[in-house]
Amino acid sequence: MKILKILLIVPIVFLSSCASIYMNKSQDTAEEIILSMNRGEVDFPIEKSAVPFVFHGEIIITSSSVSRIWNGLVRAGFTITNPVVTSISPVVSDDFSLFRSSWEMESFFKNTIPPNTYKVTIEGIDGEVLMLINRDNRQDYFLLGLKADAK
Amino acid sequence: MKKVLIFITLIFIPLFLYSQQSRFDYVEGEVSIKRVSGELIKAQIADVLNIGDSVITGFDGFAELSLENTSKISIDSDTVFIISKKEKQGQKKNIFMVVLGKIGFKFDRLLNEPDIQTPATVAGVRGTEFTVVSSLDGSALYVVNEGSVAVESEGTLVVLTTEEGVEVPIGEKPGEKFEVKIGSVDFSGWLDKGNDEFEKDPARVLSDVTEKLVEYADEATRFFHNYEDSFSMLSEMRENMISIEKEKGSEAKSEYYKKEIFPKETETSNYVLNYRYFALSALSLRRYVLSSMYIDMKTKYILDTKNPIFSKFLDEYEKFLQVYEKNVVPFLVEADI
Repeated sequence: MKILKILLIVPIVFLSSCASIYMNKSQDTAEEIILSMNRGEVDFPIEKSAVPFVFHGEIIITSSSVSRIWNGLVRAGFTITNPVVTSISPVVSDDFSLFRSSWEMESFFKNTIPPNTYKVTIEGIDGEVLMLINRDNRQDYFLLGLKADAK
Repeated sequence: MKKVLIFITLIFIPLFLYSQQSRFDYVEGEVSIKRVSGELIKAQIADVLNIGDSVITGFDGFAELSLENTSKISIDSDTVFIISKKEKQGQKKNIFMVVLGKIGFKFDRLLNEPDIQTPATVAGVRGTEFTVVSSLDGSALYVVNEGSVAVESEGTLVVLTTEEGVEVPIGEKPGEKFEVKIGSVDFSGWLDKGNDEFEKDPARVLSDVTEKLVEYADEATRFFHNYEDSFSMLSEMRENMISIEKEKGSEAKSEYYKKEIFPKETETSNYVLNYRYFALSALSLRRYVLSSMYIDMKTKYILDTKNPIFSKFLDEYEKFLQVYEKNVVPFLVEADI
């Protein structure tokens, strides 16, 4: 009986610790991206952004357009001063409406946003962002979506 | 004899299909293909494009396609190119869409010459070498190196011949033809001018693009209704055919099928081709033109969201999306997204 309990508990503990590691790494990636942006550096955010990419209600197809987003934000002087991660959780099917309540965004989330994607919200004194961070098959973490607003 | 015919058919049909395909001869920088199935892949040399596929180049991207082994298409950076098809005067016609950016065409004795389309224009070509540029404000520039191109917009046709060009603002008739010295046209400068026009009055430019979206949506709706009517008639005719077979035999049935049903089937499928063509044209405006405008505006005004220029733009943006979501989305499928 004791052995059976251990056999049941070990995988549960293992899986929950994996999920916790993935969440922590997603959070780290999100924070690093924001800190780079705050310093006016676009290389790291661009490198960490994958396509297709969601920017507010838009589905972006090319890396060039994603580069334009980061360059535009930095050029405008957008920063998240004293950033604090306020929430992190796995993406669920209804999350498309956080970007736009539309059939195309719903279809995009259903068909294109892969499993192992987390939504991370970061707030600062002057702005807030919602980011979609995905862990790919090679255990790398990438940004798949961004919503950014100044306060 | 029959065996020879079958052999010839088997040999020549694949060869004909092969020669009709567009194939990547050269790829440099960021060049992506969005397949009609919805898949997004990195373009590679020897990749083949099919009807409904899009090619999207990044700021460092460049690609060359060959068509029927004799013709060439050069796709510059920051360009969106779509191969589409529609029915025109009873014929299925390939449409090469230049949604944004710059494309050079060099056509040489094509079996089926395509039409060229930008958000502002449609052009017919004949044995020609020319360049088409489509800017963010929706306007188009045609420059002909050799041959002739007939550019149509808002019901007005302008025929360009060698070393002639024309500008067409979206929603307007073509401007005056002008002479060009080949090699001296500043295409990048012209594209920058389009961006400047957008920056001057983003809401007005977007409003012009919305009008074009409404046109596409109206045409999609019209062809969809035609399709519904045609399909309903086709269903009745098919039922009729069963009665004819019962009453008059299989020969009468075959005759009825050949004379009545087959043309109706072709007509019905052409309506589908056309409503999808207009819906996908509308989608290309939404995905590439509106999206580029939004990125520029959202990032530029992120610290100044109350700015009236941005507020007016956002109002137009929502208007565009209302039209799109109400009048275009019903004709799209998930793979289009």
